Amino acid sequence: MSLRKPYQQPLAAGWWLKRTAYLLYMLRESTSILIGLFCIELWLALLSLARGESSWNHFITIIQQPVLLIINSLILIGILWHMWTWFQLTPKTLNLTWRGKPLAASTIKAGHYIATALISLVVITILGGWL
Amino acid sequence: MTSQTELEVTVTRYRPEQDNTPWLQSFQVPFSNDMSILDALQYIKEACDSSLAFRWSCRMAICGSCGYMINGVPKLGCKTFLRDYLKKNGGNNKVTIEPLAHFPIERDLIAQIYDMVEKLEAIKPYIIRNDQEDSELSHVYSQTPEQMATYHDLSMCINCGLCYAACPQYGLNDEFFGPAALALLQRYNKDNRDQGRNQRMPILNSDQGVWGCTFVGECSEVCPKGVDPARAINTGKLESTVDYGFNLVDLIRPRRIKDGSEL
Repeated sequence: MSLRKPYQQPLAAGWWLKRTAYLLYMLRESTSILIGLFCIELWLALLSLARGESSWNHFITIIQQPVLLIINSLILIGILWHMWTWFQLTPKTLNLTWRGKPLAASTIKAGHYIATALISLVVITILGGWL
Repeated sequence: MTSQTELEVTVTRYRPEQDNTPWLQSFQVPFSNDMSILDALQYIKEACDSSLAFRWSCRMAICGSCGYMINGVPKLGCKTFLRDYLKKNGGNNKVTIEPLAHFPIERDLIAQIYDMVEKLEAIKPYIIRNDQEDSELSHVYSQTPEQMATYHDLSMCINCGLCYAACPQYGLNDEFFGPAALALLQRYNKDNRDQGRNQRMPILNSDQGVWGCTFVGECSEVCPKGVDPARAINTGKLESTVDYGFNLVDLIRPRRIKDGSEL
């Protein structure tokens, strides 16, 4: 008779609180909730824009409420945090070489920041009079 | 002569014939500067309790047998030193040694790693040649240093399992192929002598392949051999996406046969 009785180690629900690296990972991933909220807001903005001027003006007065300004500020911080943490990881997601040598991690990260800056500039230019 | 410093070393005990759950037992271990965690376990076994069970072999980070959770972090016992847990080095003169997380406990500090070994075998970790005339590998397949450099770091894996103990995705769902197996898969896919890519891609592409990874990144942090499985897996996501595109094209144009190999 075998006396073997392997013990299955349970994974506690609070596993991500046990190490700083796990906590930072959960923080990074949880920003997706904020980004999801912003997508809903953007969709509502487009909807009110499509419904005409009075609807749009109504939307503008609503999002100027202090509560929504605070929420939107949090969303902006979340998106910047998400961007920063993701750009830190990009060198491990891309196998890029230049003239036979792998690109430096700093080059890949810098490329992402430059691309973000350029795209932001284009968007701001298109939105023109607003900003 | 000053009195010798002692460290409190706490180890997991689990004796399947009499215990239903693991418990912790503490021992006082006399400290010397060159003492590894593995040496401390040897001391306990020789001087305190000979029934303590733990795996070890080479004592020099080659065999991959002595992986434990040391103060909650997966590390090799032979490559981790008691001195790093002294008060003067930022510790509290206490060390807790537990079996590797996410694996079943066989006995005391022995984690059962069969599941990882099966996954390592499943990805076909050997050179596959499709040319019929050389199925027995009678040729020498030459390789330039540049070609070897594309996979060399991935070939350093010693199958110690630290990355599985660091991976919460594997802890949550052990169907996930996990860091070491997927890194090994990439090691053979990147080898220019190998022609078995088509046989391995279905594993890489699957939900339990690279897409089961959410990039926690701790596998690479704990790896004692600098393998960087997180990089191997996450560059694999781009390869998987490209492969998906090629498979779509092949579906649309079913007559196009590239190399005659079976998918």
